Amino acid sequence: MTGPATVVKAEPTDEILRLDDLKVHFPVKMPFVQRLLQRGETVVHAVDGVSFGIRPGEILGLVGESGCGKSTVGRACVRLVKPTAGRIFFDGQDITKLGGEKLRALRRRIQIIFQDPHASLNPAMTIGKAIGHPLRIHSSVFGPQKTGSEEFGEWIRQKVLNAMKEVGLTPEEQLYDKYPGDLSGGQKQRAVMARALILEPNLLVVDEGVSMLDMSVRAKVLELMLDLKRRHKLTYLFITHDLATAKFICDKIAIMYLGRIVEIGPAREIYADPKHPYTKALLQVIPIPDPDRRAKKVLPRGEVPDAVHPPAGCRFHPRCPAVLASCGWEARDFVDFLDEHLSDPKRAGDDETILGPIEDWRAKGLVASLETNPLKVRKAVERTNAVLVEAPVAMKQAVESVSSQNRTVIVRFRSHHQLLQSNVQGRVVECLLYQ
Amino acid sequence: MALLRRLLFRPFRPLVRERRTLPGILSWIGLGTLISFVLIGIFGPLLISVDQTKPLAYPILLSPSLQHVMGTDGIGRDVFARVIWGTRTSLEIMAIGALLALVVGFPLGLLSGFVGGKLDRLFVLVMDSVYAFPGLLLAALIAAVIGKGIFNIGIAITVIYIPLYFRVTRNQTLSTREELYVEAARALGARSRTIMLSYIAYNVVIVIPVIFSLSAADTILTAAGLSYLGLGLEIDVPGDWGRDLSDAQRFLGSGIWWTSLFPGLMIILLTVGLSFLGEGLNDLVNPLLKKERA
Repeated sequence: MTGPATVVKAEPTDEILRLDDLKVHFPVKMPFVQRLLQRGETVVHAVDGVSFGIRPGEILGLVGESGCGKSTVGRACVRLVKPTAGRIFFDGQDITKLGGEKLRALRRRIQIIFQDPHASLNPAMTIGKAIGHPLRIHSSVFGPQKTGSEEFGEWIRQKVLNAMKEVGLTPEEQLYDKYPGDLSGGQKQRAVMARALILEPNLLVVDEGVSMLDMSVRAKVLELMLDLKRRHKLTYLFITHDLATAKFICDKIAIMYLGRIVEIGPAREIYADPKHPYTKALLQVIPIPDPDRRAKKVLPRGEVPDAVHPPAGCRFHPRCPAVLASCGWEARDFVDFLDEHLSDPKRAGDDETILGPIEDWRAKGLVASLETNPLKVRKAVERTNAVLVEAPVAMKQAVESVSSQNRTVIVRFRSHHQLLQSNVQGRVVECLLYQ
Repeated sequence: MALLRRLLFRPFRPLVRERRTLPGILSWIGLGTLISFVLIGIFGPLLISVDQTKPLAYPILLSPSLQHVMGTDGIGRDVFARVIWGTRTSLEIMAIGALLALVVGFPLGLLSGFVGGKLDRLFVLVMDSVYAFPGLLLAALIAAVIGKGIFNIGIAITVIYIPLYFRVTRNQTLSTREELYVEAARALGARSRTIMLSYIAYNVVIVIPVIFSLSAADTILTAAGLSYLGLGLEIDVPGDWGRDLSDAQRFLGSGIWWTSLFPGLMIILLTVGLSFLGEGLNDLVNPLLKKERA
């Protein structure tokens, strides 16, 4: 639509973190017998080909609904989950397969803050001890001082007190010997930040770091994050489901949907003029503090599909308000639509007797088929065509043919266009509309 | 050392914090009973000579009087002296049995739960097969094989209780291992050893006093049971509640109650005290675990 489509490739830059086609798949636990019977593996495609880079000093917001894989990306960056494929570079170094002491050394430089500050703190460790613990874990790095010597202990104590003061955990002397259970949520999150910062990392992954805090505390903690960024030259990967928070803090935004990034670019431009239909839908949901304003909400239909079998083509197509015929329609979508149709008695009429039950439909790739009574086949084809009239236009256009073969009704879809990333006005969008 | 000290004190924090609640009071009563028994066990034998516990020290079957506050038994031993010396014996067996079981069962459970995989399966298999035996039967079998004596009885009892410590520790480890703070520790770069000791052992150890008290109470009963069956201690041990009870049995019909009442009372008092402590701690520790997680 806007200019020629270009395929975006990863080029070498000064990026501090670079993900290259990162994939993280989790095996689905199944009973032994079922595993034997089933061909191939069943995996959750939590992250399925994510690439982005962060430059030093930047704040990249990774935004998406729950279950879209954003937290898994964060955990993969700090190597808490093992990438299935793809590569992760930190400061030019491939850290995808790092292990042992090298991984430990890396962890001094990348830190992560989790959503729940309470669960992130060991209930049996005092605040002071918890914040200072990273220094003890990495004590071998800090020169000749021997762990356990009094000077080292005193040095750690001073560093901890300074860190506590810096994150606003005051009065630090009193709080030093308190247990996590004695602190408020905001204080605990500050403690977690102090613990992450005491090693002076370069990159901080903040996984929903403020989502559990209430509004007044949240704003303060966000201000603190910005402040710390300036003072320590930090880089953030800021993971959130909350677009309003991301708008406040992020330089760049990546919108994630079902394991893939659908749009990534400078925050200001994306907020001003979203391109991907999913981004548009998400942005409309942000509440605007104006009682007279009635936002027209084009919320995506239905629910986020199952990540075990993500939709073909563009993963958003079954819910997309701007969907095209070439977006990736397949047999499953037709069966889902038919299911919806049959379950509404007003519309379905006697369709159920001819096209049902829905469980008899087989969906395989682009072909949906129903084995039925030889006498009913013709009628079933007619009915299928009739039902399709009511289907979304794009799906209707994607159907190549409805035919019959002996006693089987066959609905065949056209193959979809390959989905590529395109550069659109300073950002990267993964949508056929811009290809 | 500092770690060991913290591991030892950690379980008693709730005892201090919640001393005014019913389980707190119960625990303190139990702890008080235990401490008084320990004091009797340590100082009693220093004040009462061993000679009074030997056969034919006095005339037989004297009823309680000022000279013999608990009377004398069928072979002329002072019952009070026997009871006091028996306290020491019981505590020794309890200490050997329950402590050895703790020292073996806790680390094994921790390791098994933390490492998981094949090691875990092997340990669980072995422990479950031991657990499947009836306790007293197993102890009797071991005692018959390795012979009599305080230490041997202690060992025989240890074998019964190792699986108990193992199971509780392992299960607690499994659930603690999934906590976010353990993942956070890993992200901080902590080695497995550090995670296991500073993060997991710490939060698992809180359940130990509970099973310690309960298994200690059981230990007393098992030891008494073994002695009662004649499989326990040598005949010349200066005090043995179980055997004394067994010996006293045949006099009960003739209305001689003091030879069986006092050893029996001691067994009951000590076990009930330990159970109070165990159950009280259990009530203190479990809601606390929930609260700390919430």
